[in-house]
Amino acid sequence: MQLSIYGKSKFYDGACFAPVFQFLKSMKYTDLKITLLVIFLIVNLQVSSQVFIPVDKVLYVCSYLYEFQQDSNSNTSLKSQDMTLQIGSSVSRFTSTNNLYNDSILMLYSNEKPTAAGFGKIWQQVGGNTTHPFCKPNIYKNYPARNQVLFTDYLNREYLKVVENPVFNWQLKPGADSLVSGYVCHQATARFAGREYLAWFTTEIPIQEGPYKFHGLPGLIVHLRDTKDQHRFTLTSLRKVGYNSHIHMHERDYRQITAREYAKALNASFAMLYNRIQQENGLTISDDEQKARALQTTKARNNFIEKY
Amino acid sequence: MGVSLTIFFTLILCFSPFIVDAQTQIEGIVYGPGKVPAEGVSILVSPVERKSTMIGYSITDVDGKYILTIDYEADSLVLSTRSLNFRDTILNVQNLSNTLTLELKAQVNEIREVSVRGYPILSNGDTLTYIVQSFARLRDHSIGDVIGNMPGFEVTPGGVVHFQGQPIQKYYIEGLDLLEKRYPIANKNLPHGSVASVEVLLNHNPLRILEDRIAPGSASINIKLKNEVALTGTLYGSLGVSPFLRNINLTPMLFNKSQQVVAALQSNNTGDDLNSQHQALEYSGGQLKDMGNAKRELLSIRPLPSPETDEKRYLDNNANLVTYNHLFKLDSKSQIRINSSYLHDITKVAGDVVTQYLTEGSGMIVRESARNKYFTSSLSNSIGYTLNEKNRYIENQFNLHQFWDSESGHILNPVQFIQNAETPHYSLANNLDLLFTIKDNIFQFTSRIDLNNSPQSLVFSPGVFPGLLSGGEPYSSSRQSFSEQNLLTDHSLQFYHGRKPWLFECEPGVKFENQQIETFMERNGVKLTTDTLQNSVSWNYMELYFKYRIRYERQSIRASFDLQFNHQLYNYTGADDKSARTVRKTFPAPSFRLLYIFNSELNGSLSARYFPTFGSPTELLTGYVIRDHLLMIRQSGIIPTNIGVILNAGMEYKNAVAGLFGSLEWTASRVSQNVILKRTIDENGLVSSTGIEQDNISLSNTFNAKLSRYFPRIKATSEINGIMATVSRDVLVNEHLARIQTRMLLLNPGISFNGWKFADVGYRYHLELIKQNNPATNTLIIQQKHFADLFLSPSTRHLLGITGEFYLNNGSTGQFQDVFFANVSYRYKPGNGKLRYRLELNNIFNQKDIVRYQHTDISLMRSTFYLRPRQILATISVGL
Repeated sequence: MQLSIYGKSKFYDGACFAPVFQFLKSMKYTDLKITLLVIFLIVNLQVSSQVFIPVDKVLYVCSYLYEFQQDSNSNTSLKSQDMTLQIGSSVSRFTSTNNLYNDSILMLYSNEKPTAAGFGKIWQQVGGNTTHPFCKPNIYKNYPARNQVLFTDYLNREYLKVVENPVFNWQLKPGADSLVSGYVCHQATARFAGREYLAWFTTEIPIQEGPYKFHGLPGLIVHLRDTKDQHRFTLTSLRKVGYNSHIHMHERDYRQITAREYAKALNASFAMLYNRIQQENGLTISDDEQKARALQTTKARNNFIEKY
Repeated sequence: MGVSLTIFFTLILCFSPFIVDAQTQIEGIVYGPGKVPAEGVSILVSPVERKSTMIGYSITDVDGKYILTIDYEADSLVLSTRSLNFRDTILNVQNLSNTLTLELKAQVNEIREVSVRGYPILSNGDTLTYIVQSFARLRDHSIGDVIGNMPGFEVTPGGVVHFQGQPIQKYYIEGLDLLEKRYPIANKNLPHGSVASVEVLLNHNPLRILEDRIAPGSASINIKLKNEVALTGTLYGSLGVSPFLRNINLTPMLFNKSQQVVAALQSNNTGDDLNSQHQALEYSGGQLKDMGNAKRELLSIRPLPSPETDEKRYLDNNANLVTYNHLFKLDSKSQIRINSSYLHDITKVAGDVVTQYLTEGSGMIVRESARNKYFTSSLSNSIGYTLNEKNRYIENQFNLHQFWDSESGHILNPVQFIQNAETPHYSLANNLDLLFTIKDNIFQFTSRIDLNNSPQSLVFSPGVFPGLLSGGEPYSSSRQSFSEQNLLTDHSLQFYHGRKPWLFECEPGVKFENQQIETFMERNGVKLTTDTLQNSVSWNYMELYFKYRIRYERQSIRASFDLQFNHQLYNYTGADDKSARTVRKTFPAPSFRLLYIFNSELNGSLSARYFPTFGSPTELLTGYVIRDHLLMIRQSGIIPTNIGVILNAGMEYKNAVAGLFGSLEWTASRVSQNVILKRTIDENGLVSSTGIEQDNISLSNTFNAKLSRYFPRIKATSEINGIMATVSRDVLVNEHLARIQTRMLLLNPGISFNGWKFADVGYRYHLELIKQNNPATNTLIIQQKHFADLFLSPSTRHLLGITGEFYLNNGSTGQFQDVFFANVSYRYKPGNGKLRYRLELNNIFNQKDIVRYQHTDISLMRSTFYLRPRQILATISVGL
């Protein structure tokens, strides 16, 4: 029951990856998720010599639990992931907590050469930290310019970015006060990217921030969900950062697209992967059950938060 | 022309406030110290009368500019600023479009750090989540044990779960309602180790069609299992002495996304009452109210009052229960549910009763010893289908209940009586609820059909009431027969119209009852044909009703006004009057309820209800019926009318983060009746009661307060519950009409501490103080209980438990009892295996009996109840 990634990919033909491939050969991969993580690491390792640019100093770190229904047709297809919002004096970054952890490891070994030994060191520390494709993107608010939101991701073998200026027309719901996560919260509603959202925010924390791209309320968003309850963010902790920590930005050769195009590209990437698994194009899946499960998983990922 | 213009402009000026748009725009710049524009400052607007409510906001831009647009009718508003770097500022402004520049003083505002995961109660809008592991004590096994220890919750001995003093509406497991009102079986057997959290759904309407339209009456709970759990349950076997003891419990449970199963095979003679796991919770007191399927107790042997102690101390049972509950989820919206349960039980009860009559000139005391035996054999089946969609709801439930019960009793003193009762009951019922929408309006069709047959009898040996039944001569046996057959139906069509905040409901309906009651007595096997000793009532009852309800529901106010018109038509034939009689009654029954939600923590409610009620066919039994060896009753033959008025006011507080839950409630009622029971007590303590037409009034006042607090740092839950009540009513005994007043105070404080890994400690106190003013004498009952327990776990393998109970019971008779009980238990869990071993020694001091004092309208009773002896029990259990 082995799944091999050694297909006819131009990307992995480089001779410099020979030690990495050697390392991979020494391992058994039984799960598609792990394989995808390895791909992600290879890509990151390849570019690890690049600089992580600090764009702001982190003042507060908020953790959110992101619960989502990955398949719009099945309300039992619930997934959850821990997400982190780093808040600086002007810029914020929102991404998967696993992503931040992997980043910090990669930064730590940024001078490590891409040898099997070097890869092994990193693998030991990040192995198992899988990130759902819906949670991979990085979202920077007030970056690159004031009121702008930068969204970056690696998809279909290229780096993509979306720069936009989303305006949330928040409507307050007076009287719908609640106690959420220990804070007295007010409720507001807004429509964004094809969904209607309910947000609970607290003026006890006068930071106009929130999870994902959401912001612009007169207090931190403590809980947010869409009206169909398919996507939910809940604040699980807030802490001040006393030490010197920075919000980093990966400087890469991004291709700029629109948010709508990204949503399309994401769906296309799942469709491509589905076809590859089905045709076993570049993939060796010895077990039919494994294949069926991989197909089912890929097909089920059809409910990205932005719906156009 | 000039005059017309003047009038025109005057009118314009007069009505201008109504014509112009109510929107106000306030704009300006916010500066920090040194006239530096302040960026990122939140400007919040609230009404003057409710500063916690936000009606508008703005955030300053890089130049410190803001624009507020407010759509709110008021003369003035409260404007406040919030930011991390400037001092918070609050000011009152006129509700007029204006320019307002603000200068803020520098101040670094600290933000409170939180870690929500670390806190065991999470509040998330309409849902409170209790993390089970935080409340589980060392001794706890089932989820019900843990729920009972959560602040805001209470689990009654019968298994009913209360949240904030109200019984919960639904008990879901993973979002599915498998057991409906049979949920005690899951609550008692689902191990808490399988449960991740208990969610309290505060604003959950089980019917999706009514979601966002009608606020639910009370909270529901959802048991969230740990992710990996599919098969769980309870599996144990115990053996002990003396006498030979057994307790076997095999209750496997399966939960997955498409089906849920709870099955049980339980058998014990150790005092575990299995009836609460067999019967649905509607069964209480044998009343046929609300078209339930409860058993009708028409006759019974004279019961002994149960003592106010843990049932396991005295219940001498031999019970066997087989139950199977299965829910199939057909799709995300529909499900089929099957519940089937059979209980066989033999319960023995023994004790002595001293009854002191408190009537004028009487002061008589009757002493008796009783040995009663109850045989229960009951089969309960139901099958239900539910379709729960946004625009359609269908629920049909078919129930079949059979009881083959009997009772036997032996009264030892002063004269020996043997009494045997046969109390079978058969019931067949179908309930249908159908809700559908037509053009945004909701219609609900409800159908209840219930068919019952109860042929019951009571036999005494030697014969009772010889003065009335055999001219004063003793005789060998008497038999009272009482049979009832009835068909009860209720059909209505309810119509909901409107959108929030207003909702109108009207419900025309028709109830129809056909009941046949036959009673007669036999002396030495020969039927007595005297009219005053038998009854034959044929009853046809039709009620046309029209209920009208107006609801007004906003976020902070929920009000409803109900007006019900009933037109009742009685057609009956009584024993003393062979001709049919017809009575028509038409009456209104209005009620009103207001709930005001001050904020997410505090709400207050007020309600008033006026309700006339009328008697049942049993009140037409003008011939005597023997209730027990001391009591014969005959009714007035007229349909009694009770007019009741109830007022209720309450406040409820819940602060999940502070772990503080509290409620205050006051209820007053006044019931006026036109029939009173005239009682005659002879020198032997024999009571004959006859209903006569005479106006009388009952009054009651109850004040109830609850407060519970969870201290997360030390993992302690403390609670106090107090009830003060006054009840007064008229009694007519031996031709004397008197007014009896009873005052009662109940107080229950308690604390449970489970902050250490190696120990749990708990203490509870119960005080019951009842004072009754009778015409002849005043009586006082003081009953106190102290419960303390200590569980020690030096390592995860060992658990040692010691529990102690101390009772102090005192009644006006001057007799006083203090009694101390202690139990000790030891549990051993080897390694990580699934086996557990437990050894327990109950009633270490081998206490024989416990006393309970109790008032009736006319007497003070002192019951001495015999208890289970000292017993030792060894148990092996397997964790599923």
